[in-house]
Amino acid sequence: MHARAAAALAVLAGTAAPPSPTADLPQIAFEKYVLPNGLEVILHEDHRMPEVVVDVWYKVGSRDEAPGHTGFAHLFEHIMFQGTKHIPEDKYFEFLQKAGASNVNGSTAADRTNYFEVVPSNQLELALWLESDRMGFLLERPSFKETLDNQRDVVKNEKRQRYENRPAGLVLQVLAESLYPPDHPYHHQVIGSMEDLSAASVDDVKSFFRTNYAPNNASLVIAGDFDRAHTKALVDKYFGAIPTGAPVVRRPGGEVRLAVPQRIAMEAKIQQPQLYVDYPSPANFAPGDRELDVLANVLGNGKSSRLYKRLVYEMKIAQSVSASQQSQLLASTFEITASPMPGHTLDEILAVIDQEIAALKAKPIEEAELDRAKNQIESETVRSLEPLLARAERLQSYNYLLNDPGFLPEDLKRYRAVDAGALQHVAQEVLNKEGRVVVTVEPNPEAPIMGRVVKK
Amino acid sequence: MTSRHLVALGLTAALGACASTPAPAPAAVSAVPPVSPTVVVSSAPAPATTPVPARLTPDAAYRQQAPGPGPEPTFHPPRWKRFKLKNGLDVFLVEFHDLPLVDFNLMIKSGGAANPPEKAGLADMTARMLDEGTKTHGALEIADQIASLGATLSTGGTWDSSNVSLSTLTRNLDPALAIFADVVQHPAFDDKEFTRVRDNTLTAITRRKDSPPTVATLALSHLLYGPKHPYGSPMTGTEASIKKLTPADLRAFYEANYRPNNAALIVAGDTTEAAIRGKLEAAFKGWRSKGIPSRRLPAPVGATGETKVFLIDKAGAPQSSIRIGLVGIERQSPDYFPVTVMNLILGGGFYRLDLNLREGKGWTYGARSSFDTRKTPGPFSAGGEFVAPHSADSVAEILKELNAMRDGDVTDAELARAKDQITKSFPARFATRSSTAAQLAELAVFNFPDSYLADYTKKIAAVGKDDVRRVARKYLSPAHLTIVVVGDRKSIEGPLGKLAPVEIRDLDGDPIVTGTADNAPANGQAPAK
Repeated sequence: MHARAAAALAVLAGTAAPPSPTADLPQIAFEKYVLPNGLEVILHEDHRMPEVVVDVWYKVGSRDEAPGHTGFAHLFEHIMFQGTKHIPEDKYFEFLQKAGASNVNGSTAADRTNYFEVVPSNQLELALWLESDRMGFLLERPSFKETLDNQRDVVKNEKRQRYENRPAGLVLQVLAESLYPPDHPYHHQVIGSMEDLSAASVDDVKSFFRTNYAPNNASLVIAGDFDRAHTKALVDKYFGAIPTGAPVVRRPGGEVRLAVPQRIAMEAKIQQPQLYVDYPSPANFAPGDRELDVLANVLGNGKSSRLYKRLVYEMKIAQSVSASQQSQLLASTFEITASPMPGHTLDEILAVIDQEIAALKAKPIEEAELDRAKNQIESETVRSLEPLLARAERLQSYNYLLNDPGFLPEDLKRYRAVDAGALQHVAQEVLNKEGRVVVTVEPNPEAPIMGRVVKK
Repeated sequence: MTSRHLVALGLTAALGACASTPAPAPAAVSAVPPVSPTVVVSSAPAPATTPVPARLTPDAAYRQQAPGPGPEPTFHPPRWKRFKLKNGLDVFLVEFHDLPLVDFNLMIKSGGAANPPEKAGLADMTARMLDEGTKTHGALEIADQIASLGATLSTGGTWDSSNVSLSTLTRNLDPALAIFADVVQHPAFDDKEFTRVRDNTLTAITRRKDSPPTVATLALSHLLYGPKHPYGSPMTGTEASIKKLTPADLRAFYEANYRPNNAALIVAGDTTEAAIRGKLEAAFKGWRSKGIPSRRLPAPVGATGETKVFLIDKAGAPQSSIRIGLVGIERQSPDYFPVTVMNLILGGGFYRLDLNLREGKGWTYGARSSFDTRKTPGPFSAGGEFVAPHSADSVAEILKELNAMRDGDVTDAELARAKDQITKSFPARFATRSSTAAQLAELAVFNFPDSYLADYTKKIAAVGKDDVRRVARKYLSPAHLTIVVVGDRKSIEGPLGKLAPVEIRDLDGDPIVTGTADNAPANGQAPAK
């Protein structure tokens, strides 16, 4: 094992005992620099395995889509795999498969789009050639229209597979539209509407590329087994000449607060009802965000959580329950989901959820329970650091959101610093019935698989 | 933390890890509450979509073709140790000292394949009850202790094994190992806990039928293997089988199969033989070997020889779940290596099925094929999710690709690409402790020699075009194919009928006895069978 990696990742202290706020914490060693064209480059060496990760983030996602253009960031992500001036159609994967890539993909979220490949370390240059060619030469390829039409169909099938042919798959869209006003960047889903996908034109593709896919709106992480000086030279060779783009203008949007509670009744071709309780919550890294992570753990993470114990174990009125703080750049959602056992109603479950939230507001939680939640979060974080790709993604995320790829130990420290009083306070501020969205989905064999709204 | 909403949309369904590696969602920067969410006041117009001036990157000679690889890196699978405890338990130990974590994975070499036909779900339920209470510790007590230690404990299984897995920080190894050993050796199978888990499972089973892809996959196995073969029922059981299970059934399965001589323990992580061997001897001291019942599986019912489409109605489904399959091969088959290469060319990401049905026709998000290899031959399946109006076209195109693979030859380029993909990505299977443990688990469960992993890439590299041709002809026999389609009967039955006779089945893949709302024949006539 390589000494640098050991120093970088080895130490984690304090678990069974209450974590000490001063103990050593894991770090991901890195070097960051910026090319003259604005591309941020982050290098993380780890020589234990002869593999290397190339991970490119573009700071664009579905939040940047104007009304009428929903789903475009994701459709565009597909186009990025279809070839460039120098890479023929359908050859992107073939190059990487022949090279022995163990993982290749891209993904689009509300806030960012990523592209990555995990390749044997002797194929680093191939990965850099491929990534730089689609950053620099995407538009100079033939038969754009045919490719767009094909991938439009593929993406529509993706929407059918993920949402329309999935039991109650419409819920997420209903939630997004209820939580965020029509002019908010999170009002629509990443996948977009079928109508907008149909309307996307070649000119839209070109304009989107020129606006967003410039080096000054991207960051490149290279992680794994590489020579640093040689790699810097390669990065310069492949990315250095790509011209800077104009500064990107963002759609405005921030945290939301609902003036009145919403309850939406849906029905779907399902056997068992489903319950969604969503509270608008602070953005990723905003005050309160980490407390909500801890509260989610206390309420709904596994068999030691309060809601599991009450609803599933003791009362046996729920088949499952979970809670999560879904952190995003502009605004987040604290969500509780549950499904009942036969013979029990969603309202019975909702009443217990409300009791448990009231208990969190009324009384600070015991130290033992707080430590348990913190230990789970901290050890889960350590566990998550093992795959090279996960480390690359974490460097990207901290860099994008905080301009500090090395934020990991600070991040963990802030969890350690959470106290019972702060949890109680955040529960009182955020988890309010008056400002939440409740969606119920009841079975109806006549309803679509994805469901439909019965009453708002 | 991670979340459903944050799970980003990926390019491909099966190739990537996009869904499992979303951006980490770390905690807040600020140490100080209170929270004061701001109300959105976004009245500013969206960015204009006026034409953006072109930026041209200067081209260069070195960009005209792909750069060649550097020198091939040397790689050897990590060394592991193998030793036996005094009670006969086979231990595999592989050391990783980069993170202060130790993973334990106990494989009992009896899984879903050991379910008697009327007791589908028995092995799975037995495994899932292990951590629901032991003779001295209650279910919640175990859950709380594991959580307090920052450890994870899970139980479950495959067709060939029942598994108990623990991941713990090195510093908490002793208390975590004690819980793990207690769960393995002293499960209570308490009546009250059993009733709760059984009822919960029954509810989960009813939800399974809501998902067309799940219905299609389970129906294919049901049709291929029949009700008397364990593979013919879901591994987690059916309503009928789960309702009949008792704690005594679980206890009997446990007593018969959970024995050190029928198990292997894989330890991966931050420990050494000197540090762990004594702890394991102490922890499993009371666990005794015993003869394991031998069992023979019945023959799969297989296809009748006449190609038929089994159609399961999901009224209004915008997509059809298509599974075209047959009884494939066992994991230990000498044909495993040529079959793996052949299948990749047929149904790997961006190979034949995908290039035709996704990239060519645009009828799907992904078309794939797979051989599910088990101790005895598991199912081969080709298919995916296809837009409803092209359901019959998609079945026809998949059949065309199967025929082309069987009747033609793969090209040199396809063969080289597939073999390179498998052999050159092989080291990545050892990138983490859990992926390495999974490789060792295969050795343990299928009784492969220690040299198996070192020989793996050599065996793939030795596959030639004639081998691919031979296994394609041997296994992709049209007479053995079973076609399952789950979708909107009203609109797809007619077109499917032009391909082959259509037989309507219920959500379990069984003949329909009495019509239900979901399965009533669209034309008002009696079901075909």
